[in-house]
Amino acid sequence: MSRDNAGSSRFWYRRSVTAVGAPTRAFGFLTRSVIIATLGLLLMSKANPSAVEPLREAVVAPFRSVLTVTAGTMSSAIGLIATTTGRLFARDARDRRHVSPSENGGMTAHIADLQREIADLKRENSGLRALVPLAGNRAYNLKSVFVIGGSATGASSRVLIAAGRDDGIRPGYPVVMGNRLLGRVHHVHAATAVVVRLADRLSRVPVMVGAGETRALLVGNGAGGATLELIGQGPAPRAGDPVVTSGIGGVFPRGLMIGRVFAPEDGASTNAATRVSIDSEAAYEPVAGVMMIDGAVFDQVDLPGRQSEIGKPSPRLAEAGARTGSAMLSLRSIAAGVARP
Amino acid sequence: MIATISNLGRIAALFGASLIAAQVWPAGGVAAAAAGLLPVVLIGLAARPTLTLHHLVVTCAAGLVVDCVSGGPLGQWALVYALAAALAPRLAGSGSVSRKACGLAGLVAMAAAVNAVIVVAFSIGHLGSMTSELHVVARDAGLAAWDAIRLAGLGAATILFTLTLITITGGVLAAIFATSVRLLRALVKGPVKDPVIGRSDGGAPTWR
Repeated sequence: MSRDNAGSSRFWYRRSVTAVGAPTRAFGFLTRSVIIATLGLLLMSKANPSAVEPLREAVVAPFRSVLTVTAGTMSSAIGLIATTTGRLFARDARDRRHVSPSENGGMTAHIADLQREIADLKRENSGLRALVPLAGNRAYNLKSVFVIGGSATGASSRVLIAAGRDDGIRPGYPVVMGNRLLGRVHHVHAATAVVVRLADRLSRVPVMVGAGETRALLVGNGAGGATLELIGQGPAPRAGDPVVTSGIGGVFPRGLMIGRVFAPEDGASTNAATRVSIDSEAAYEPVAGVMMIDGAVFDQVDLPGRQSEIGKPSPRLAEAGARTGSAMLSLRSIAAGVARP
Repeated sequence: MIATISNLGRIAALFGASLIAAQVWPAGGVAAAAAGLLPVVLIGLAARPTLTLHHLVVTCAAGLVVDCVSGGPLGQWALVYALAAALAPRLAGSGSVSRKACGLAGLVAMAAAVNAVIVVAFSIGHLGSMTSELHVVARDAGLAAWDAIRLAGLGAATILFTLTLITITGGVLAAIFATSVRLLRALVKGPVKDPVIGRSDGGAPTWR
């Protein structure tokens, strides 16, 4: 390639024109400016999230009702596609042997509709049954909230909900789906809030494994799952052991189901930073609506008394705590996932 | 008028794809990666040899919508889409259909790679704030990089496979339609004769 060609190739956009025929040099400058601006926004959101978070609220709040409707429509459309696809694969030639094709088609569609309705009712019933113990407990104040958006294409696994500061939502509130813990509220705006799910790299949840003798910290792995970082003493976790919230730290109520141990690491023991995979439906299932637990009650949990239950934190956590300026990292900070300098 | 309607249609499609990216699969996985890359495909399909101002602005706005609704870091998808819009004229804006298809594949792959780089950079930054143990940061960053690259690659492959399938199906249907039209015309009007060039009385070439 000649030098001229290389030059023209490098600055190809200088030949471009705008829709109104403006000078190309200015347009190339504009292109670079836009890219630099988006890069700056990205760096700013990492360095100082509170400075750019109002932008999220400013964009989303006026369209909250529209987003709620479209989110519901999207969920219905996806459900319809899944049902239709399943119906196509479920059709069996034997079913059409003694009936006419049109009659068979109508019956198959009717059966599929009934099956879908039964599945929806079972799911709804299951969710309501799961909430009975929560609703019966006067310590919990539940709020139903719609999910209007979310993304999980990398280290973050979050959803945006259609309730915020004006609705009484505060940072750190636990979010559940049925009787399973989904995550916690991270950012709160006037009309919306960002929920960090269990799979997010910012997620930290104090948990109990098995019969409750093994204490651990559930850490999101950023890839649709979570791992256990064992702390304190107790038997090594085995595949199938239930994992529930321990209530330590006062952010999450005790006894909320999270999932089960999926793949214990070879030679897993209760040493610090031992990693164990968790099979948690709440970590990767799509959600259309969630329940919020008012966290005011958990603020009354006595932290110093609880600390003795788990012994010393792992060196990694202690180091993180030291970086926050305290001798020992506050368990509340760990649970709230704010162990950042 | 038609051009205006076409542009409005592109804008609506781009914002629709952005909302799909942010709303359909909040749980993540390959489907989420593919949904995130869907607007990039639309940017590539709408690309022209010259980059227009409204294309760039609308693209950035769509990326910002995804960032705001997704709950993730602001600027992540806006940067990916802005880069895609800047490179789209070069990669998929001109040339033959096959060249445009290759350019579109490259554009999607580039967007997936940029997103993977952003994800890994954020992961390293977050882990670095949690611990100063280099081997822990390196190990977790490696895992995050592998997950991001795997998801991005699978998402790009999924979306390109779907596009190829749609293209092949459309081509086959178009060929069947054209053949049907020819057959129908042959049945109605009889076989089409080859044109013969003749001369008029004045000597000018004519068809007959």
